[in-house]
Amino acid sequence: MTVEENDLTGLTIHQAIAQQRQGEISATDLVQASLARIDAVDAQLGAWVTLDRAGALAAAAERDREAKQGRFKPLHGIPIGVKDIYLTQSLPTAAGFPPLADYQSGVDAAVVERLAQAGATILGKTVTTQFASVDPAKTLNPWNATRTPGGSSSGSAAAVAARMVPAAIGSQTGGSVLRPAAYCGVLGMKSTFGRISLRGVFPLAWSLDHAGIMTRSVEDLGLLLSVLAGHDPNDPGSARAPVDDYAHAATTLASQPRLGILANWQAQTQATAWEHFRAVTRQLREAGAIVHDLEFPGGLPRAVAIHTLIMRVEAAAVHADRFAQQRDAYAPRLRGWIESGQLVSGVDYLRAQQLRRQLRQQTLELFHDIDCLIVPTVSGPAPDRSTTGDASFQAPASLLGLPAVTVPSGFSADGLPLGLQIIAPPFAEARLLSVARFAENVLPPIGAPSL
Amino acid sequence: MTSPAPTNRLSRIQLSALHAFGAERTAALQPDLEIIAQALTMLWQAEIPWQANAPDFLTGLEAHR
Repeated sequence: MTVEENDLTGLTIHQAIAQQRQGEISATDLVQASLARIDAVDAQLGAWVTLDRAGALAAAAERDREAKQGRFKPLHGIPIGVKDIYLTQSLPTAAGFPPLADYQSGVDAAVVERLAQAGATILGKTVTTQFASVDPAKTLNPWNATRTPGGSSSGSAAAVAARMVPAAIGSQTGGSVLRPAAYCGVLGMKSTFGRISLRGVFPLAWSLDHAGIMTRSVEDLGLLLSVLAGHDPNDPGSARAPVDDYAHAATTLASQPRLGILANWQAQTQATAWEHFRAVTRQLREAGAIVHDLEFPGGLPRAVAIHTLIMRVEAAAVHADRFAQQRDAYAPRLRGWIESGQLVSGVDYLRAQQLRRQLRQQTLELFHDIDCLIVPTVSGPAPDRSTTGDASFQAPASLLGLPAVTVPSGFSADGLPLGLQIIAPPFAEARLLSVARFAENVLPPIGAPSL
Repeated sequence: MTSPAPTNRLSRIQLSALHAFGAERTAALQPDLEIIAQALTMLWQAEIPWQANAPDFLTGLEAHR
């Protein structure tokens, strides 16, 4: 089935809401179109763990009743997939861990609550790697079934790319939103650490975990962020910083954005991917961006080393009790993370945190003369399915708590999507979205995969 | 600040793994142990200014809440 045969699945959130307001389509139409698309393509892609067909249709019917009364919500009737590490009251949350296959938490994560309050239709749960970590899950890349969709938000990225839903929720501790988004050719965003509540989300490494969003337009990123951002007194990591008008920012083209390239990441980038990135930066410059080369303090490998240590130690701590009881149920690479994390001393962990703090201060100084940093989102196109890909290029934004967006930037020589990563200072999501909108406007759309 | 030489760091981690998990599991963990040893080597090669020992030293993220 192609997208053209079923136009509703190709709509962005903004388009779908506009058509509902005009009475051209209903929320029920949107859910039925998504379910039909899933029925047509998910047997080959494996993006979903659970679908809530009856619940989604009932919610859509309620939105349609509201629409007839002229009442519309910000995400009115929009079908959305939620990564299966977010707790959901009406659906099990397995987190990719077999012993939790039937786990019913009985509560909704804060993100799920906010989506429902905003009128979104939770269509179901998308595939995650085990506990949002590293062992590949069953999902295939919609552009090439022999390649990974990336992880850990594998199902969310594949579902958005394959037009099953216009948006999905992911999470990122290393690169688990931006990398699968880039590999699958969709937009992805993780906001500043603490900007979106993580209440009701299985943790992996508490000082690195972020909620994230995947869509097919920058405008939709802004709209979703405007719904999800805000302080949550029940999340100890939640930020109190004011919430800007992200929906408006995402519709506003940045004028002559000042962009800094982290030029010393070239050594870790595949040659053809770096050539692609340089071609993208030329396009941005020709469109009015002011682009400078900068150096990432200490280089990328040191940041990745700091991230690796902190993530493995915190994962070992998070999973200590469960791992002691159910060691054999853990996937092999996550088991390796946990066991190696157990061997790191307290002094070594704190040295990593000291260096993290220092790197954050040094990186924030880079923003004095620029609006955003830009780098390739991924070191190369999606590799084969023995791995979820290289997290090195997304991990620094997670380590430093900085907001980041990936915008599809074109294709590799073998026809796989690549992405432009844009990184902003803490809580500068409005600026980030405006620059992302500029990039989206400059870069040609990559279209949908043939399935 | 002192630190084990890089070659000794892997040996020390392997020894810890041996005590914690036994020989068979330590052998299986070898790639992970090498990643940890390499990361620690990079961390202990870096210099840390005194400012890094601040009360909110843990992540540096707290000041931006």
